[in-house]
Amino acid sequence: MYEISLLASAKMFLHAAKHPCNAVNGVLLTEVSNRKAIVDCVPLFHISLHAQPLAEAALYIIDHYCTSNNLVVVGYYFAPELQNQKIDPGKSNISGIKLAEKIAENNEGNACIFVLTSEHSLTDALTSCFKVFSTSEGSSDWVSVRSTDVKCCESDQGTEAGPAIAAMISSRVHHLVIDMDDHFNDIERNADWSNKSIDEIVSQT
Amino acid sequence: MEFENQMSVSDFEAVQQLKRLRDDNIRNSELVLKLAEPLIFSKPRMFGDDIYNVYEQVIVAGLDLARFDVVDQCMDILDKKFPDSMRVHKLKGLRLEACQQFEDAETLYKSMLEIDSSNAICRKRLVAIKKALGDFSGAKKELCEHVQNFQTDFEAWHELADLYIQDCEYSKAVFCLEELILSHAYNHLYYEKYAQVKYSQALSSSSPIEHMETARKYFAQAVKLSGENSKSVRALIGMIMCSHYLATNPKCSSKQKKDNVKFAVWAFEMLTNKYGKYEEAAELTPPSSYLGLAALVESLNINI
Repeated sequence: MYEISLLASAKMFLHAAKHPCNAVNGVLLTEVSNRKAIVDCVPLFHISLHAQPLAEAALYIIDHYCTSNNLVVVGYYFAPELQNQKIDPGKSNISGIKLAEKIAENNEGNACIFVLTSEHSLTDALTSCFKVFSTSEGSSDWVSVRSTDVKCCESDQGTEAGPAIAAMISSRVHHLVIDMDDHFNDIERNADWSNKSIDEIVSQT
Repeated sequence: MEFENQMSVSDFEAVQQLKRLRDDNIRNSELVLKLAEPLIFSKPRMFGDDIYNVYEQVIVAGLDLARFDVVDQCMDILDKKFPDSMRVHKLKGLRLEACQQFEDAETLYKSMLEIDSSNAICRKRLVAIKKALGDFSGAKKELCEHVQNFQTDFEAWHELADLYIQDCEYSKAVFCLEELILSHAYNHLYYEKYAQVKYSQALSSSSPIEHMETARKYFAQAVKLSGENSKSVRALIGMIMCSHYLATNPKCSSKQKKDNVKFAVWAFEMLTNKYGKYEEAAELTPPSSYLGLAALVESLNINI
């Protein structure tokens, strides 16, 4: 049973919305004490998805951030470039699956992958907008998680996740998202890859 | 009469910005529509002779955003002005692709190729259709044939490299990237990409040291080419990662390890100069990427 906060799901979809013509990926964070409740995410790349050294360096950077904030990396999300791309982690055709495997290694074999899909609109239930796979201790296979086993948390004011995110995209909030690629492009202007500005907006939704 | 000839400053800026987007081939469809839509039908004379290029630009942007109303309006204008133009036909093909009518688009492009077999753009659209249908091996095959005939089509070499990287066929990707480096010897981005693929190749090969050394050298060259004052962050990080791997690999000689520690420390110092500027001045407290990398480099110094 997974739970994903509005902050994490918003950042994922806003990241994908900012780069509609590219594949995007990122990592999902939980608190150390409850590793099934995703509380935040860090958008990673929209250009250098296949650059392994950058991905590993980014993981080191994020790990350091997590340690000082009582968080841990437990998951990976990915939005494919093309609609008709087949997604099946068993056949390793998810870009960056190696990153997800590394995350599982560092987390006693437990990790999850969220794959964003474009079959449904955000105004339908948010769970129809992604597929979830998970792996657990003792097994190296990625197993599909039923959408009924994933809970998308509402906003503090009680707005459902899907419509809340759709409203944010209409107000062009997605242009505020900074990912690691933006950060590496310009360290000074794009300093905050933890996207505190989005934290504030989500808490007011 | 007077109103028609008046260009407000923002309209003039819009024309300039649209030109810049066209010249640099930037894909920012929302911006293109926002700038062009108020002007292209009501004030086309502002663009002068460029107006038809702008219609083409708006069509491509409109297809990205599913604004078929604007697309069809522009298409009608271009059709009337340039009947039987290959360029307009290609736009019709794009429109079919945007509506997922891939078979019809394929037929159109193939008929255009029968008239002119050197039409590289049509060939590349056929590759794009294969990609859109998820047939990546078909796309690779078509692109291979294409680069055999059009060896200076660097966009094609780059796309082929990306397709190979996606499927972890690193040695083939490296071949394509070598073509790009040979012809663009001063572009640090190609060196960076080559080094990234070499790094992945090293990690999945039985003789990683050689590949990793090559990766580090290409990252170093990218740092050198990216300029004295604006060294590429990705290349510096790449150097740190490669040197870290070599400095901690038991199969490396102790001299190799010592040298690689020096390289890692040097690259990190260059990064320090970049990060130093904002760490002092920042009013907000951003998460420190610098500290994460510092820990990595420090661990090297302890090991040796």
